[in-house]
Amino acid sequence: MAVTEMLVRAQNAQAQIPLTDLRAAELPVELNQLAAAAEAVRHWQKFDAEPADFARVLHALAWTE
Amino acid sequence: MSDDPALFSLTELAQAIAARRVTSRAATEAYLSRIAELDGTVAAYVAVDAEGALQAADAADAAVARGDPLGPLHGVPLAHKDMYYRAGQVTECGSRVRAGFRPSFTATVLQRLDAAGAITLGRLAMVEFAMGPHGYNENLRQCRNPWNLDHVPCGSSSGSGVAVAARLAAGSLGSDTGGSVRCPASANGVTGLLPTWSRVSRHGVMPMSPSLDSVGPLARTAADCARLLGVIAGADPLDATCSAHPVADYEAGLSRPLAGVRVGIPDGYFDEDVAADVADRIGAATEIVRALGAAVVPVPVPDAVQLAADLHPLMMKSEGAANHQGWMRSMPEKYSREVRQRLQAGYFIPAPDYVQSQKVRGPLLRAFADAVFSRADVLLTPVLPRGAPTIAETTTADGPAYLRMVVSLTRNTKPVNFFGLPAMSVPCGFTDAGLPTSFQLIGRPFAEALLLRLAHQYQGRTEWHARVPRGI
Repeated sequence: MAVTEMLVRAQNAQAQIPLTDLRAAELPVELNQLAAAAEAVRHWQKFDAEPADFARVLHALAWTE
Repeated sequence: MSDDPALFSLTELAQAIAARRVTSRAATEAYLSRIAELDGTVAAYVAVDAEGALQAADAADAAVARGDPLGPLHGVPLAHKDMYYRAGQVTECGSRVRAGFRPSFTATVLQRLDAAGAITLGRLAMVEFAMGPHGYNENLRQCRNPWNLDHVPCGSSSGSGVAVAARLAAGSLGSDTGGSVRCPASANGVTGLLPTWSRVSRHGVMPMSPSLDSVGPLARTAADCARLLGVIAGADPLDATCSAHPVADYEAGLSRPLAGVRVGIPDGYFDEDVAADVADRIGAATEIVRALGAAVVPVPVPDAVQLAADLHPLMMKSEGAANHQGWMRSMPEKYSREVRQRLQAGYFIPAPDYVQSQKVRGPLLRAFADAVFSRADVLLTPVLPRGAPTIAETTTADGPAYLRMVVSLTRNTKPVNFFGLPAMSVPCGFTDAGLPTSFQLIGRPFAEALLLRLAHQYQGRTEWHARVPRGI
């Protein structure tokens, strides 16, 4: 589902962030880009993956001479 | 070598002070004199502590006279991005929200620099809360690129890049969440290092996006960066994320031969949309790297890079929005319109998407490493795809146009933060318009010693890093 101005306004009832009419109208452009970025990696996510595993991978790949 | 200590590199100055050829007071006075002369034009500083710096310099000289053991930065004047906490002293993060803020404790990195003997000249300009790659900040004087005052210095560590380039400090700490050390280093013609994520403590450092933030040095040479990193790197019990991975002796290996080192030239992503003059300078630099003995090999860039580049803002904005939510509600008028707008998107990102960005980070890093580091030890890319834009070119009120500007400046740097990898910005010439340009070296996790070694030997064959802007 695409992010719309109406959805931004509805969500902001909870977030309570000061938002001009112009920003409420243009934010969906950015939010849909971010939603597409998230959608593009859905298949990379495993059900039982640990969110903090990145630090382990980083050390596992450490450079050695 | 000039006899003006402000024109020495950091390591040259430290050596001269230790050898009693120059006093710390003379060096500090030389920098204060240049600041008085030039900073009115480039606006690198937000505050100068001349009295404190001179007192510290006199104490440093007294220690030399007594024959005390000297640290690796003894008596060397530095200045840092205004986001490093020092107990009881103002730290404002380029913002009105933190105007007059005095932390109750000192950042670990400042404690380590103090212990190494460094002197602090003052606080440097930055983009408000480090949220922007252009380098200006409506809360501060207009920080300007010393090579052409009409152009941006890039940021967010704008003051750090300008102060080092204009010889207003011997070195500086910046911070890098999506390119904020490497972009100003490139735009101003100095050397910058993004350490591996978790290599350097962030205790007492303003957070922007903790999953992506790294503290890194900007200085004139790779050897200078090696000296600074050697002082600040290493485990810190006050930062739960800080790595216990052993810290290398970064200076000891700078001159080791490069034979056997494989330098990858990207095929895809990093070679897209690069201006012809920048591509030409990168090509020339590649030939020098080859002449140094490294093997230059083509490396197909995996899709993981584009995916990381696209996910980076999702992670950054989610975390930034969380940090600022209380103030965004209680004092929104104290944020500039630009930063307020940059933060807004973060409040509407679904939590599952944010958690997913964390879950896929390790697999994407592994995919990148498998594709790139199986063929090369280091990837060599442009930092900025073109010379730094003019101030006018980056000033836009239109949201989508603003996003395009941000992407154009950070497209080659932000995926590296998402992967948590170390990278360097190394000056390699000037654009046709006379602005500095640099290449980026990206290495495996904790490969800072290799990046510094390659950059150091490149700088032994070139003099781009030694040029001083004269038109200020």
